[in-house]
Amino acid sequence: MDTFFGIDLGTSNCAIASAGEVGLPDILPLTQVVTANGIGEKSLLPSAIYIPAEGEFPEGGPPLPWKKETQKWFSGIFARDRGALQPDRLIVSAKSWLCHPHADRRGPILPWGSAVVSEKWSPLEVSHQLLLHLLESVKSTHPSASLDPAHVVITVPASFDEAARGLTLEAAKLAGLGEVTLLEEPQAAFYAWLESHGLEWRKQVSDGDLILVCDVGGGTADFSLISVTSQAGDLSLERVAVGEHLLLGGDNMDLALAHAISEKLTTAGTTLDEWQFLALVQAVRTGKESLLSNPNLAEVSLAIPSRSSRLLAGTVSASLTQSEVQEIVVDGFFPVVGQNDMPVTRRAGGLRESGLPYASDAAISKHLARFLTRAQANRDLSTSGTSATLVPNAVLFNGGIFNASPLRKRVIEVLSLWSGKPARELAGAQPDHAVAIGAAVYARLRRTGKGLRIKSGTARSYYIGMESSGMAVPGRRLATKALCIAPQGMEEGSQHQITGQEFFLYTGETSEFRFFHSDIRAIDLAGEVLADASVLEESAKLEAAIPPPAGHAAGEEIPVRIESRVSELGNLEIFFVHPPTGEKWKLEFNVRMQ
Amino acid sequence: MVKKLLMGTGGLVLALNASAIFYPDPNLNAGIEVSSALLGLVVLFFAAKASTQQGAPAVESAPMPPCAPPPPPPRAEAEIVAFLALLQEQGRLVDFVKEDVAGASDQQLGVAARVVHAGCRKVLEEYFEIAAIHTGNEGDNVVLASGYDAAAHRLLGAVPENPPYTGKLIHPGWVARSVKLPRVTGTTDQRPWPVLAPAEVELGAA
Repeated sequence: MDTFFGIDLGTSNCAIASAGEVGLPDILPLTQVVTANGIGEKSLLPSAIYIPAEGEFPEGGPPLPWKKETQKWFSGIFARDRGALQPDRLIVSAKSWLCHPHADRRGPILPWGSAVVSEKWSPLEVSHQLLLHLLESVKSTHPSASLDPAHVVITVPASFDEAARGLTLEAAKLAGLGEVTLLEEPQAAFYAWLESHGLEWRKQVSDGDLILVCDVGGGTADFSLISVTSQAGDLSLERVAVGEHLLLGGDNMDLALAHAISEKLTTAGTTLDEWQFLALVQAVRTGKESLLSNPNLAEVSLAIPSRSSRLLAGTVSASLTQSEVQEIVVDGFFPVVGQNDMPVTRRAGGLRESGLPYASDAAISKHLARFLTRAQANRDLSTSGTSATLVPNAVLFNGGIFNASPLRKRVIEVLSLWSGKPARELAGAQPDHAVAIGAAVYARLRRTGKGLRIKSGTARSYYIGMESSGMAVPGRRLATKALCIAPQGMEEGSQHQITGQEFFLYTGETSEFRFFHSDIRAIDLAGEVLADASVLEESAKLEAAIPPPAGHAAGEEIPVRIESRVSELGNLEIFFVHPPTGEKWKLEFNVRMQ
Repeated sequence: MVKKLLMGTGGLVLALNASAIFYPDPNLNAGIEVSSALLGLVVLFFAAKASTQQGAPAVESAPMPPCAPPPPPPRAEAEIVAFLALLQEQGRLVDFVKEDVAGASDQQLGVAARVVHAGCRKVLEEYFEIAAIHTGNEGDNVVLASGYDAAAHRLLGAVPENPPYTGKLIHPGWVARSVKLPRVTGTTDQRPWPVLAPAEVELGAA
């Protein structure tokens, strides 16, 4: 019997699900260090790495069953908890660094800004080690499991660019998984929903529906649109838009509440130290969940202990009220806004602290408005004439915060306001483990061909930068042109050859190319040249090492053509082809800083 | 030896523990009530440890047969100290019980009890599946037929020689359905038990 695996390599937590040939997948227990004295199994592995000081664990700390040598670092629950008070030794949110266009993603940069850790980690290494932990744990609890790469699917945010996807694949190879398939997280959540409903799902959606997958995790928000159409009586699904990478999530809500309570306490004469603030964040999280799940509860009392052993004298009492949660979480993060109310991007200072590009506007509804506006602009380009407003009429929620029904209701309320028609929620979503489960479902579906697939080509179009050839004019810089090499919507197994355009390349050395993408230019076809690349977003550079082909000397210029294809596994690959000899070179992403 | 003894008396300890929760004393204040309940839970832990299977990690249903090699069982005392360390870390239980509460006000005790309650509750929810023996309400009529689970019931009042027994449910009882405690590591001959709570030193604050 074949087993299929779905891996949710999350920003805050990882999970792995396995599926047999039929039936719902199971979430596998993950062995990890849970306290300073013990190991145990949990369904989630926090995506945290803790790097202890040299003498912190003279005896090596709790040993994992598969680790023979002394552990120099820890991953999982203990790492997250131990590191909470030692941020200089803790790596979290490494996945957000993996898609940070201005960071050296192969370089030792994490923990970011730490001055105490002697050996830092690269974002790639973090993904590699977290994957390795998941795999070793599965092997130790299920020694008979065979992790055939053709049966493994790893999820990535829909907003991940090609370079970040490439690095995720590389991490899988480093972890010994081989060539695996990637799947966008919102799609995975949708597959999990489909699978858990069997044939019943058709009762909840119908021809013409536009479904928003609204995935808000601990630190990130990810949107996708899936359209439902009827073809010859059968419903078919297509992912028609993906959002931008948004560093905003449930943790922001807890922090916002904790700051509000902390200010109230300061006004009353009590100042919390760093440790008490962390305890307060934990306390408001539980308090928030109680208040959101019970609207009749007017307030909850919070008790914040001090670090001292004297609990009676040191514990601070505070309260969190229903109206604070309504104001800060519901109205603060999900305000009722107009469809044209875009998020504020704050660039007034001109100088920004380095680090992750967190969203500066906390209003998730405004980011949703921006997502829909961009998706509409993109659609209007490809289907000239139609101007019906693009507002989803159904929502699939994913992520722990949506266990709270007031937040789900608010999103539905906002969408209904925008479209003027009532939107509805797809019932029966499981916000906590859906991504890993959906990935395992997809791994099985790819192999067996049984089940409905969401049609999803490349979400963006891709371009190579070309320096304009023109006469130099003093004081005027020539714009960089952009050649479209892969249009939006390229499906697995499809390819494009750019004809009519030839480039000349120097052989015998590595050449580098600027690489751009856009998610709002459905109109561009392969081979099209844009006069100014500044309308696009620049990603990691591409590079190709070109040895001289037979009959040519190193340093010679040779003519090449460009070919792009999306592999059967869904990866975008770009090649240079030398027509006279037929030789082919693959372009790789260069994510090192220059 | 300790374990064997516990296994024999597990049911009794469980029942005693449950009865401790409603010990009738009108002068008890909220804080003391909570602390006695929590101490009761530690006793419950003894009973649960003794009555559940040790060894292989609890693996949720999976399509493949789990067959992890069981680690050598650490000593019972080390496991109990490790559990107490969990209650201390999450719920400050040792701090709370070690403090002198004679002069403390109910207000102070109540605030501290919230910390203990929230943390210990989290530990219990995370590592145990605890269920009531009777799903009915307190005060309901209960009939215990012949062959009833005697270890899970404690009969009060004048008990006839043979069942069936008819009576009123005073306390529904608790039972641990599963235990998934961390496996203790790192104990040595020099330190047979884990540290309950490490001393904390803030650097640069001297």
